[in-house]
Amino acid sequence: MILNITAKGLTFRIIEKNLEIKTPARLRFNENAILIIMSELRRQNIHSWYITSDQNTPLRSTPKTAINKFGKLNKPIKIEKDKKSDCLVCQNKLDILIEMVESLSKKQFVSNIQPSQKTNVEHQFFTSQKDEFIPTIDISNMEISTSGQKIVDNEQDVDLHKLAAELKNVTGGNDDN
Amino acid sequence: MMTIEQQNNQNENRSGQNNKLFVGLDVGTMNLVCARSDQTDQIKITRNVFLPIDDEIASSDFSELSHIQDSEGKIYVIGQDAFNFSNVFGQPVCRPMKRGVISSDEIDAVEILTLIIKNLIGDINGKEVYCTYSIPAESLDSGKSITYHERVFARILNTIGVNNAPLNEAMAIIYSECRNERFSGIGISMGAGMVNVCVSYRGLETLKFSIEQSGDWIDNNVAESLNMVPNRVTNIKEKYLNLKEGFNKHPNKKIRRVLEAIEYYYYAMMETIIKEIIIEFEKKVDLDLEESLPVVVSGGTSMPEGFIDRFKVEFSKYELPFELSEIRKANNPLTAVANGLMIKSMASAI
Repeated sequence: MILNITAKGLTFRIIEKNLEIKTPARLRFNENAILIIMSELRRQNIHSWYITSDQNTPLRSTPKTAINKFGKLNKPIKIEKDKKSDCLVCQNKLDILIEMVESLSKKQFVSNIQPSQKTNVEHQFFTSQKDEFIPTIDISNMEISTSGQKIVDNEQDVDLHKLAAELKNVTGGNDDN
Repeated sequence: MMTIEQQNNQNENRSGQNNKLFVGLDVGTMNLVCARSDQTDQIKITRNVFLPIDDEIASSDFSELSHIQDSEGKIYVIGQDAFNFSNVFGQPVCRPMKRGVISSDEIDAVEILTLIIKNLIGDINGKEVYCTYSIPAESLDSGKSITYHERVFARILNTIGVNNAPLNEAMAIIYSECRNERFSGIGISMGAGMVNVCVSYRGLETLKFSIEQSGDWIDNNVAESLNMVPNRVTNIKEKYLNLKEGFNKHPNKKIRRVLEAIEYYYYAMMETIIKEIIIEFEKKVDLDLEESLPVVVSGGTSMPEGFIDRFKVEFSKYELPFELSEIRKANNPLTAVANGLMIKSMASAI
């Protein structure tokens, strides 16, 4: 996997899967985001990767600090400039990596996934009241009697279903904001 | 011409599509607000208060008032009726929530809240319901966790029988009001218990926090200053406060005194909000934004006449760490959060 840091943001590239995830333009990862991503890679037993940068673009201080910090906690990270050859690590961990990155993409760190293969990752935004074991509240011995609620007009200048579709398009829909 | 089997399949498909119901539930300290996708032209609101009735007067006829009765005959007047009742008798209402989260003081609160919310959401028979409910961000004042609050409401909604998910209430304002800015902006939800702030970039939460200086803080401080019951202050505030005209315009001397105190606390609250936005933004937002951000304000505490104009004046006194495009009020400050929550339900389940 190649983690490419440029002036325009971060790119994950997994060549064999033709999978590239880019951050939105001009959105830099902060230190915590980088640490979390690298910790996830570590957790998935992906131990070596190359971090490249544009030849003409020095690593910005924020990601460099994060990388250095991570390097102190774990093994050193190889930083190479103008790395042209693609490096693929842990072939058998590819599916896990894709799953992890897709999961992270839904946690606001990246967006704009362009996978060539779909994964089986399903993200649940809603907690299903049928599936999850949560004890219900006993209201069987209580009765309610109301004269109704206050009702206010909800004038909209936009179709709410269209608005929801736009929101899904912009954010990817099933994120857990 | 369709066969009977084809007709049955078509009817089944149509009823499957119509079977889904999307709900936005704004769980506020003062008001509960519910938006349903099958009734988008109207939104229901009820007061999030109740009043236990003493045994001595429980024998009176409460059939005209909204109330809950348990199997032991204990009566709780609920909603606006509780509020009105308490104003008549000078008795403070019980609040299932305090400062934006479920209250630990009210032992009966959860059962009563469940019934109130069930009644508010309404009939869901035969529907597959997806409900997004509002939660606050962690408070800068107290730092208390919202985990318990979040899980209690998940439990309430599970009891009612709906699929559910939490969402920061200020983020819901962005979904409701910032379509033109591609869901980038700063949402400020000014409820009774808390002010919630969320900075969003393209629909993604970038920063969120809450402070406990909001409507109740104003009412409680004014009440303490003037030796009054807080919900009487609330009543005066909601009826008469006009930040554009100022307190001096009111003809009644007693009400003028209350309004004066309310105004002073309003300005103090505004100052705190702006300062915290600046501090938190500088600490936590690492965005190189190309675009300016709107500030969109919602919530009952932002409703007084003249609020936005005064807020703009306060903002102009500070140098901001971002470019501000405008400060505006949500289309409907009472319902914007519920609307945004419903939109999120739709977007997540379609």
